[in-house]
Amino acid sequence: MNLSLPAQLGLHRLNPRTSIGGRLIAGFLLIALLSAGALGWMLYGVSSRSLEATYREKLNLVALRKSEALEAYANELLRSVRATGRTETMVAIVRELEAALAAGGPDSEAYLQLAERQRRALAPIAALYDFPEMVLVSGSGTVVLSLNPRLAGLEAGASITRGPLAGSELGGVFERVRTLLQEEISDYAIYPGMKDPAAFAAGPVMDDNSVAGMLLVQLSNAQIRSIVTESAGLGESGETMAGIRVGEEIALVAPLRHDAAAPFENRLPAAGDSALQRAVRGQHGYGIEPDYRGVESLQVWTFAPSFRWGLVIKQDTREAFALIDAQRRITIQLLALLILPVGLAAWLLARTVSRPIVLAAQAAAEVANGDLKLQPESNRNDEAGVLLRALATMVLNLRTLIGQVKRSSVQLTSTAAQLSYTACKQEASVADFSSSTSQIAAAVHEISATGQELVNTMADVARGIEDTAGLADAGRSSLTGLEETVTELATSTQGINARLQAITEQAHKIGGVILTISKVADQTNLLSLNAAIEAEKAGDYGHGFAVVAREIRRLADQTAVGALDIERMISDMQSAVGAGVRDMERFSEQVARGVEASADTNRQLERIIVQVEALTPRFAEVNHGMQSQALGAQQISSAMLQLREVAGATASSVDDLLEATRQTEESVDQLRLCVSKFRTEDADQSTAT
Amino acid sequence: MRFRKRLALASALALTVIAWLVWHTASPAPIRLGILHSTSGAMAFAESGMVDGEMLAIEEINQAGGLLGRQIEPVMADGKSDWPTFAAEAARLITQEKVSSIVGCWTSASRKTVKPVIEQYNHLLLYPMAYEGLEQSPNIVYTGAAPNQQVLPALKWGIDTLGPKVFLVGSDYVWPHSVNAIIKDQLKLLGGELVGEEYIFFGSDHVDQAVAAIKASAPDVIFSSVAGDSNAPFYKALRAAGLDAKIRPVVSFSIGEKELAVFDTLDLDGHYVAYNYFQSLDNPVNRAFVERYRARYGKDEVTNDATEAGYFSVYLWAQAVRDAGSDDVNLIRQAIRMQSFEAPEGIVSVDPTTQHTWRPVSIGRMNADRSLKVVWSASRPIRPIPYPSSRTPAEWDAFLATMYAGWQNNWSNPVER
Repeated sequence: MNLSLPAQLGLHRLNPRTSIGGRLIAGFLLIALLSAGALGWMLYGVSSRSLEATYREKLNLVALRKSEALEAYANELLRSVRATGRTETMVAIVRELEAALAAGGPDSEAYLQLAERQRRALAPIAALYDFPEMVLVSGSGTVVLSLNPRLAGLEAGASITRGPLAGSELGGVFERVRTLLQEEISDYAIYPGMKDPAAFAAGPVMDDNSVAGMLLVQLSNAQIRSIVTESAGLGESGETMAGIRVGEEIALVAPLRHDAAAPFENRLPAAGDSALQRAVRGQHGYGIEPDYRGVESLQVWTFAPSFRWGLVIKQDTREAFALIDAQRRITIQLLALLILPVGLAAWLLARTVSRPIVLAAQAAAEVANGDLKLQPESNRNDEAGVLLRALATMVLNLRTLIGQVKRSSVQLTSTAAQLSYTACKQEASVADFSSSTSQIAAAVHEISATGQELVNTMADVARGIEDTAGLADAGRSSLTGLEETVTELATSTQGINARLQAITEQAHKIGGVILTISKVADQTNLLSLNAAIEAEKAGDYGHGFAVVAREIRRLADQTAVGALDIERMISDMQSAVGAGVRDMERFSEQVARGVEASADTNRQLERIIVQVEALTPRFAEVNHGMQSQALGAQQISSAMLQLREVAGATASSVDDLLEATRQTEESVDQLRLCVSKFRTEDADQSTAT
Repeated sequence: MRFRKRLALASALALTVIAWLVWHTASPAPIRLGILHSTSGAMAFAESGMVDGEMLAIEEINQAGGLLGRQIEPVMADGKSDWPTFAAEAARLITQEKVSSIVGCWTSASRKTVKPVIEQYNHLLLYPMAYEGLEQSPNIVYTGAAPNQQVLPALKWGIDTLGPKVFLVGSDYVWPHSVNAIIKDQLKLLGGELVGEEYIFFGSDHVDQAVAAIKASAPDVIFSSVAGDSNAPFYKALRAAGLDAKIRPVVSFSIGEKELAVFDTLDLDGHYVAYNYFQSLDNPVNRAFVERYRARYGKDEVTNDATEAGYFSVYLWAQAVRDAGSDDVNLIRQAIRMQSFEAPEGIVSVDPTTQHTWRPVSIGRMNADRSLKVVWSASRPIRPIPYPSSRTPAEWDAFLATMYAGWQNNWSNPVER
C-alpha cells in the first residue's frame, strides 16, 4: 500500500525559462517585437516598391517628355524646311543660282551679286527658324548658295556627292532626300573647321512638277541641347545623357551634369549593356545600375528616332531612396526603444498573473504535504481567486474528514485493547481449566490404582478367609481400613464432582466472553464500514484509509468466525463435562453402595468370623464389583483425556483471537500513522492517544 | 498532450507559410492579346507567317517571365480572308474575349473594316503589314511600312536602276489602287513614265489579261501589288508568256521569302521584292531570331517581313504594357507611342505623331536557288509619312472615299472584270 504522499512538487526548483512568468515575458516580447518587426519589414518593402515605382514612373515621364520635345523639335524643323523648300520661289532661286553658277562660275560678278541678293533674302528666314547655316544645292548635288560658309565643301560650286563631304553625314542626308523626296535630318557629326558637332536637316526644293534641288539647314545646337540638359524633376543628382553611335563608339552629344567635358569628347564602346549602350541600340527599359561615375542610380533608357539618340534619364538611388532609408532607420530605432517598455510591461503583467498561481501552488504543496492548518483566502475575482477559494474549501472538507477518521481510529484502538484484554482473560481461564482437568485425571488415576489395589486386597482377603478364619479380628481391622478407604473415596469422588462443576462454570464464563468478542467484532465491522464510506468521500486522499478500513473489517469478520468456533468448542466441552459428571454421579452411587456394602460386611464380619466357610462365595461377588469399579475409573480417565484435548483446542482458538486482536491493533496503528500526517487544530491531543 | 499542442502549433505555422507561398506564387490572370488573321481563305498562306512571328514573340516573352508577372494569353480569331468577318471577329475579341489589345490584319481591306470597330470601342490594333498609308487612327499603331518606307524608295531605285518605263499591276482592292496612285504622283518627279496599269480580281488566278497588257506595253520595270494566292499564277503566266525577268523585272511589294520557298523558283528567278526585312539580313539580332524561329517551327521554315513585323509588334506592345504597368488599353495606347525596339531588321521606333513605325527598307533579288540577295538598302530607318506629300491628307481621304463608294461600299472590288 502506497500511503506516503510524495512531496515532489518542487516549487523551489521552478525554472525561470519554463515558469509562467518567464514564458509570459518571452511571449510578450516575441509578439510585440515580431509583429512590430514584421510590420516594419513589410512596410519597408511596400514603401520601397512604391517609391521605386513612383521614381520609375517619374523617370519614364521625363524620358517621354524629352523624347516628345525632341520629336516636336524635329517635326518643327522638318516643317520649316518643307515650308521653305517646297515653294516656287525657292525653286526659282535655286534654278537662277544654278544657271549663274553654270554660266560664270562661283567667282563671277553675276553669281556673286545674285548670291549676295539671295543671302539677304534668306537671312530673315534663317533668323526666324534659328538656322546657323542655310545651303542651297542643285539637283545634281552642286552647292549653289551657302548663307554663312564656314564648312569646307559647302562653298559655291562644290559638289556634295563628290567633294570632301562625300560619305559624310551631310552627304548621306543629301542622298536620302534625293531618294525619298522627303525632308530628313542627319546625325550629329564633327566637321572639319567646326568646333561644335553639327547636324543638318534637308528637304527637296521642288514644285508639283519637278525637283530643282535641295535645301540644307544647320540645326541650332543651343535649342536642342537645352532639351537634353534641362533637368527639371530630376532632383539634385538627376540628369539626362544623350549619346549617338559613331562607328563602333558612342559619343555623348551634350555635356553631363557631373562632367563638363565638351560634346563628342566623352566616348564609350557601342557594344555593352550599360543603359546608354542599350538606348543607342534602340532598346527601352528601366534598371538600377551604376552610372558612368560608378554611382548606383535609377535609370530609364529610351531611343529618340529622329536624331537616333540614345537617352538615359537617371537619378542617384541614394537621393531617390533617402526617404526609405530614413524610414528604415526610424523603424529600427523604434524597435530598439520598444524592447525596454514592452519587457517591463510584460514583467508587470506576468507578475500579476503568476503570483496568485504561485501562492495557490504553494498552498496546494503544503496540503499535499499534509498541512491542513493553513487557510488560503483570496478576495480576487479572477481565475487564481477561484482556484484559491476551491483549495480552501477542499482543505476544509479534508480537515473534517481527517478529524472523523482520527476519532474513529481512537475508538477502534480502545476496542482492540478491550478485545485483547478479554482474550487474555479467556486464555487464563482455559489454562485454569486445563490444570483442573489434569488434577481430575490424576485423581481418577489414583482412583483406578486404588481400585486395583482394592481388588488385590480383596483377593488377599479371599485367600486369607480359608487360611485365616481365625484371623477374624485381623479381618475386622482390615474392614475398618476398607471402610476408611471407601469413605476417603467418597470424599474424593465428591471433590471430582465439585471440580467438574467448576469447569462447567468456567465454560459458561468463556461463553460470555465469546459473546462480548462477537459484539466487538460486529461493532468493528460497522466502524470499518463507516470509515470506508468516509474514505470514499475523501477521494484520492482517503484511498489509503479505505484500504485500512477494509483490512479492519476483514479482521473483525475473522474475529467473529473465531468467536463462533470457540463458542462451539465450549459447548462440546460442556457436554463432555456433563457426561463426566453423570459418570461420577453413577460412580458416587456405586461408592455409596460400596460403603453400604462394607458396612454390611463389617456387620456381617462377626457372623463371618463365625461362619467363614459360608462367607467365601460372597467374596467372589465383592471381587467382581471391584473389577467393575476399576473399569469405571478407567472410563473416567479416558473422558478426562478427551476433556484436556478440548481445552487445548480452546487455548489455540484463544491464541488465534489474540493474534487477530494484535493485527487489528497493528492496522489501527498504521491508520493512525497515516492520519497523523494531517495536522488539524485538534491534532495534538489526538496523537497522544 | 504537449506533443499534440506542438503539432498543432507547427501545423498552424506550416499552414501560414503555405498560404503565404500560395498567395505569392499564385499566377495572376493572364494578359489576353487578340491575334486576328486569316487562317482560312485566300490570305491564309501569306498570313500564317505573320501569325507565327506573333506567336513566337508571345512565347518568348512568356518564357522570360511574362509581363508584369503575368503570362500573355493569345486569343486567336479567324478573319477567313473575308473583310466583314474581320470586323465581326474584332468586335468579338473586344466585347466577348475582353482582350487587352489586338494584333492583326494583313490586307488593307480587312484593316479598313476593322478600323471603325477598334475606334468605336476606343481599343488598340497593331497592324504589322506594309500598306498604302493614307490613314491615321489614334487607335491603330501601324508597324508595317508606309508607302514612303517601301513603295517610294523602290520606285526611285527601280527607275534609277531598271529604267523609267513603269507598269503597275495589282490586285483589285484598296491597297494596290492606293499604292499605284502614290506611285503615279511621284513618278514624274522622279523622271519615270507610266506605260500601263492592270488589276487582278482579289485571289483570282485569272491573270492573263494583266500579263498580256504587260507584254504589249514593254515596260522597263513592273511594280506589283498583287496580293495572296494570285501571285503564283501571275509569275507562272509571266514566264509562260516569255517575259524574261532580265528585261521585264517585277518589283513586288507583296511576296517574299515565304513564297520563294514554295513557288516554282524558275518563275521567280531574277524578279525583285521591296521590303523592310529580309531573312538574309546579316546582323546578330536577325541571326538569333532566324535560329529561334527555325527551332520553333522547323529548320526549313523561312522568316519574312510579315513574320518579323508581327514579331516585333508584339514586343513593342509588350514594352508599352510594361511602361504602362497595366493591361488597360488606354494606358497601353499612351505608352506605345514612344517605344523603340532592337528588331532583327534594326531599330524600329514608333513615331508618336503618326503612330507609324520608323523602318529601314531594302530591295532583294530572288534567285533560282531560293535565295534572296539584297541589292540595295536604305542607310537607316526611314521616318514614316503615311500621307505622301504629293496630295494633302484631305485629298487622299477623298480619293479613298470615291474608291469605296465606287465599289458599292467595299474595300475591294466586288466584281471581277
